[in-house]
Amino acid sequence: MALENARQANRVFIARLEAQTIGLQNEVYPGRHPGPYKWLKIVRGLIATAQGYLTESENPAISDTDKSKLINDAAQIGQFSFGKLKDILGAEASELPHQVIKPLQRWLDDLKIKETVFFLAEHAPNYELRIWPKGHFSHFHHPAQSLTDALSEVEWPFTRITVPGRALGMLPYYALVAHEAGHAIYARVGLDLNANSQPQLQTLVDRVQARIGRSLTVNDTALSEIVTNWVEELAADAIAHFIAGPAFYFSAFGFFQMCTRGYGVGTSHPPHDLRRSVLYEQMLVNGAAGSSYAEIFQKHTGVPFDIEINSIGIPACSSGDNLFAVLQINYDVLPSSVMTEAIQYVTEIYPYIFKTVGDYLKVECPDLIYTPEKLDFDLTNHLEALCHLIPPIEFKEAQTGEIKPVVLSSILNVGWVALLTKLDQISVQPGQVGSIHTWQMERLHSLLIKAVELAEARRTWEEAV
Amino acid sequence: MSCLNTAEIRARLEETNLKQRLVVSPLFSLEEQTKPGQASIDVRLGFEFALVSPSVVGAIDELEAQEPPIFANMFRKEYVTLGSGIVIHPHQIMLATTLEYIRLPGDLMAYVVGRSTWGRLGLIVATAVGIHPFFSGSLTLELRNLGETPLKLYPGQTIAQLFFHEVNDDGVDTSPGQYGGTVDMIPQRISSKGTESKLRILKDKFKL
Repeated sequence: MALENARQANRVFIARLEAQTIGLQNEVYPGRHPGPYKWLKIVRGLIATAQGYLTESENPAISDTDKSKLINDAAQIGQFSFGKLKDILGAEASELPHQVIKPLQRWLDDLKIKETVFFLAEHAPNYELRIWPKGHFSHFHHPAQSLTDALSEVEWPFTRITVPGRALGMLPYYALVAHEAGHAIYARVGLDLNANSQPQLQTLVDRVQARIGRSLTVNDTALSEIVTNWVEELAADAIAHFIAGPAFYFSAFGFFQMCTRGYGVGTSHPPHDLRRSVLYEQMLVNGAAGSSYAEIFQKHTGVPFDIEINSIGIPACSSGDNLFAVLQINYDVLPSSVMTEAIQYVTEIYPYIFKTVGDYLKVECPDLIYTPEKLDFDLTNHLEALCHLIPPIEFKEAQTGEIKPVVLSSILNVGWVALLTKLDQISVQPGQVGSIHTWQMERLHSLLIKAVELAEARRTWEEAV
Repeated sequence: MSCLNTAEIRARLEETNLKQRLVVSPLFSLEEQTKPGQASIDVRLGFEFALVSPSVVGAIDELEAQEPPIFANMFRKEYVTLGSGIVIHPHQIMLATTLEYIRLPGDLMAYVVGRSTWGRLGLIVATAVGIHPFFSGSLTLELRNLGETPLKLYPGQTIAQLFFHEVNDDGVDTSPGQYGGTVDMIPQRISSKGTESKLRILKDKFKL
């Protein structure tokens, strides 16, 4: 009787879970993107697996001990499935604009990211990449056929990109998605620190040893974790820079200033101002036509593009003993000393990181690379037009005269330059309640969303052959 | 009053002076959408729809409703992507948008007229047909199926035509953006603030 009661209790939970999941499968996810549906199909497979365990627990040929174990396992799978529904909370159309999903997916496709992806908006200042390997879902002894089928439809690992939702879901900042895409392709870039930064790595070890007063090797866990994390962050920044140009610079440091406090330094991330200074150097590098991003920005706007252009609140990170003392408030001596000394290390090896990333992208997806020449072209064609309420949807190709859709990185860059320097020229309807700047910002935002939507529509239309 | 011919429309679309430029974008097929002799631009059905849904609202009465009246809870929105469709049933009303973003310069106004093909199938496309100079945004279309057969509509179908007329300069300096914009297709208010407050005073004064 107790077994039957336990089985029934689980059946109720599993049935409700199934009903909830079916309800979610009937939802419209933004842009009808396939990612959420594939995720939910896996959850249905998990539920079917749990139901299979409960059915097997009724087999009179097995012992009560085995029956009890099957019922318990079914309960565990049910809880696991319930958790997987939480992982997709925020992927609904009410949280994410329909218009941005296909263009973001196109970015990932162009970067040859084959993994199945879904996008999620969180009510928090957070851009994040999370991955689930196939093994996360396939450790069951007796998976239902529907689970096996659902798993076979996914390009693994299943990848989730989180962006901030609601008021923080501002289109220009979506350039930060390029950084998360950078994490997704990081392993393919082929950085080899051991082979290419051995002297600098040894110097780092020497400096940390001197600070902590004991010996250390380059393989020390704390040291290698921090170095690996920081290098990956800087590489992801470099990837985003190559794809999105100044739009990533404005997004990243504007976002850090708005949403974070302090230096931004931790075991997973180098300090904000270090990231900013190495990227700002790239804003000053001349492109093929002899002008830098900064020069082109100033040419079109009359506004100097200085390092703090939209991030004056990011503090200069302390160094040496001062930083070491600050870090020790939250960290042990070893990680604090590694972080203190790693600033010099990553600064020294950054040119290698940047060059390796650039070489990879130039081979794998040359058309995706944004350049100062593209910025010049985009601002010439679209900046003044945007001030006349003409969104950057399409452009005439100089050589062929063909009309082409504007790419996402161009829309983001034009949008940022307008936001930083031309907002006062965006006209709004008179008589609106609230500050005129609010309505100018809202109108600029809606013009950019419209540009993203209609440029993508044009591209989709042309591809239908 | 003359109407812009196709060549004039195309010239306006190519106008380098941004203030004078007519924007209807994107035009998936310039040749198809601005046929010679047609003197108009065909516009396509967009992606956003608002369907009137059952609600607790007894009647639309702007003087009884909160100020300003909120119509949003009378509509259910649907976003339909290219390749998908939405069905409008007999006698149903549905709001939709043009796919194209439209911006009229200060010296042009336009009329939006439903394509006769749709009309013959029972679909009435627009009732608010005049578009003011300086309008910018996607046009809201009021679709109504007056026929007896459900009609499946697909974003990207040509749905209406725009006819353009030049507006004589009246010497008044009107700023761009005064009319329209990329706003929600669901109406925000019926009357202007001034008219509405006057009507409220009158209603209070002559209340039975």
